[in-house]
Amino acid sequence: MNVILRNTMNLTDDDEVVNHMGAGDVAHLVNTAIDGYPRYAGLLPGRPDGGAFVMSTFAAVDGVSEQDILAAMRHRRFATAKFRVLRDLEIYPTSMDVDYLPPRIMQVHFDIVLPDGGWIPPTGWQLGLPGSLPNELVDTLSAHGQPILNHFTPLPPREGSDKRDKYPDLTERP
Amino acid sequence: MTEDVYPRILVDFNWLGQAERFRVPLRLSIREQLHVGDEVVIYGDGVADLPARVLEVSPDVLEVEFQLIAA
Repeated sequence: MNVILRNTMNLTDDDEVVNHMGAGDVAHLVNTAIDGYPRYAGLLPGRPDGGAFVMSTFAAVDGVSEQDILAAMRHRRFATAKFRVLRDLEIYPTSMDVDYLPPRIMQVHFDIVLPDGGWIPPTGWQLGLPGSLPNELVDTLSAHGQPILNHFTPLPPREGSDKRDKYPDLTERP
Repeated sequence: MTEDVYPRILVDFNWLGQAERFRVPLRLSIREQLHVGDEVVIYGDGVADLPARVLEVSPDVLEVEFQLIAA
């Protein structure tokens, strides 16, 4: 699974951007952003060596509606914002070279970069090793992530319940 | 195996959409704990827990293949 940087950034102020990633919950957002960091190694401008901590979004553009986006995802919580309130953030058009999502949905995917305070992974760094993520970095991501989430207005959640405490977690972060 | 020992696997549902069979990259330390046929719980940001079975896993291959188990 590789992330691809598309070469067209075609969002305009009135375009609706849908956040499905931890809508309203900065802890979920940061956890998923950390998990995805290595996939962005060397991909985004200004980060020749490191990855990136990002928030995944889709835009209702190019004939793709908000309902199309919701239908394509398993998430239960979504939030939306006009691009005009996001335009000062670092946003990139990105896709993934997998076919789990319909191509037309993949083509309206955008990543918002969470500022990481200039963190550079130490030599030999591997995600998941004990002590591999300084607490200060997690705090920084949370501090920058919450204001970004605040730009979005939550949609009513889908039916269902969250149960996250029954099983041992093999992928829990240090 | 009882329900309370199923391992939980964090995945990035951003890229998985509604797929029921998929491959996800996992660290070696996790892959070493999984075996073909194992039942696990797949979870991710803002998505309900989903029971799944390991279809393919190898210490030498970064990605592990899972199949969701119908409720």
